[in-house]
Amino acid sequence: MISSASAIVIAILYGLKTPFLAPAVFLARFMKKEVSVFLYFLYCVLLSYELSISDMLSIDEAAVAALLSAILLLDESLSERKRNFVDYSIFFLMPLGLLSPPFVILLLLIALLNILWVDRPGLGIAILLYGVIAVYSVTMLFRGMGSYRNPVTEVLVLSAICAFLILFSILLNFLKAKSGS
Amino acid sequence: MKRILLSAVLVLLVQAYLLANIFPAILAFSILIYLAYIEAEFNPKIEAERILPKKLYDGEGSKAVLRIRNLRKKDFVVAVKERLPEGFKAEEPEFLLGKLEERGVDYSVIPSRGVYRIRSPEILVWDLRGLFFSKFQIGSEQEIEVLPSIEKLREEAKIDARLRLSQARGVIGFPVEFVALRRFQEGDDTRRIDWKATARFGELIVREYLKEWEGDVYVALDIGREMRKGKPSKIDYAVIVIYQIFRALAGKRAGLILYDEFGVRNFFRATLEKERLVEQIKVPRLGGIQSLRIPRIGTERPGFLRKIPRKGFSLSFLNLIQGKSFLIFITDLSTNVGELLRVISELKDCRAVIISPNPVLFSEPKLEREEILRLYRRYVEREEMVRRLNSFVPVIDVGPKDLLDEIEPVIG
Repeated sequence: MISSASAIVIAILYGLKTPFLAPAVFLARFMKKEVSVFLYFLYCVLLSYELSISDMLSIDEAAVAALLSAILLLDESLSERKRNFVDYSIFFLMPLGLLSPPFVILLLLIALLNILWVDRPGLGIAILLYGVIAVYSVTMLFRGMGSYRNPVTEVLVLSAICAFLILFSILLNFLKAKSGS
Repeated sequence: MKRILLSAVLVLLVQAYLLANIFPAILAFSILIYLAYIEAEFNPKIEAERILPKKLYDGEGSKAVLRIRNLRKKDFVVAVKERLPEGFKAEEPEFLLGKLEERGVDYSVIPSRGVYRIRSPEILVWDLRGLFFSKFQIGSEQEIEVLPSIEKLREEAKIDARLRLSQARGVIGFPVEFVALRRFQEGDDTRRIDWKATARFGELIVREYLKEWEGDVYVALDIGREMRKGKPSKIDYAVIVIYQIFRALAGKRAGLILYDEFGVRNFFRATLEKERLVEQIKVPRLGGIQSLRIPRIGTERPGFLRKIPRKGFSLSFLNLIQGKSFLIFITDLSTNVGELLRVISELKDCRAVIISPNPVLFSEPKLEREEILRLYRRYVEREEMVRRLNSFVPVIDVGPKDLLDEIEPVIG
């Protein structure tokens, strides 16, 4: 709901075409969640073709907005959570983002924090912090590298962090299974 | 869904590498963080109990109650997967369980006849996004008894248009006293034609007898393995026939004998409450293919074997039956035919008839030439056996669609 509205605003603001597909991805969840996830997969691929960033230091407003909107779209397509007052307020305020682009990012951040507030996460907070710290560290690392940095190296470093995250997830599963038995 | 998302992560990373574009890599990383976040947050703990009535009725929906309590401060989606024996049907409810919520969920279970030890259901607890789940198994095994449903039998009896219970009144009686001669009418037993009178009058004349009730009716039902195989099983058919016979014997006493490959299992004395006896047939249906083998007939054992007393299978219930009774055997004649004939030959004042569900008619043949030929050969062999048996005792070979109106002319 919020993600669809924000995606349309982002598409208008930054002249993108793919975000116009966001409502279709969201509505597909009422048909079957698997269909929605599959459309989300295509949506991500198309969005990645449209938005191009050469390195971590040149991430712009459009990329941040599109990224936050895409993550929110994934959550809204999957979650059975009941909408609350904050959700409806953000939805109705979203068109105001057409007047001020940073307002869209602010509203998207509030929407994500609202999900966290409802979830009352425990260990999940550590995962999110890990994500933020990892991206920040990589950005700082590349800033220090000067002329040596290139997009391929950055992608490889991010892939390595992803692989580490997957390994951590497997370990977490193992520990859960052990504590369960 | 998790697989689709992980595939998306992989594709986005490859896309980022090939196009030298950092955005798909960051998007992939964000999706992965999202998945890891949900997995880290998903740690369900529940307490649950499933309650089933101890007595259920075959084919009748019964209410199972699941009492479930969420011990975590998170909402979950719960799905119940029943692990019931073959032939059972159950709803599989799915519902949202709030944080620390305790609730009862009713759902329907349709059982199949028999005595079972039922395993506890499997409870699948999903996170709200439907990405991760945990399986819980609750409680221990529970023994339940599924009785034949009188209501269902009544319904089946009503549905079958071929059933004419009114005609079946007085089916089982002994024609003891000659009353009169009358013209042959459609449906009359041809064995009652008086040929001398027919020759004299030039038209078919039948003898009419006064039917007099002389004793109890006992139904001896074979509940062996072979009788329980097939779809529909012969035992299902037998239960319907027994119910119809008992209904036809309004005001008369009837008893029930259950036997299998190993001997007499239960003996229920003749009573006026006959419908209750049907509930005692609590044997489960069996899967597997019917053997269709045709047993050899022989009451006499050869040579020195005659001197060795029989062990194992024995139908020694005759001493339990009083006076002049009528015995109806319902068996597919797949085993122990010799012992059955021995029992029938020892009947003194009692009369007997065999209703035999034909295994060939109860099988589901594949439409292949060899299979059809095999079935045909079995059918012919069986016909021959039934013909030979008929010299000892009336045998009515029946199929799944034959009901009492088919049987009536023979036992009437």
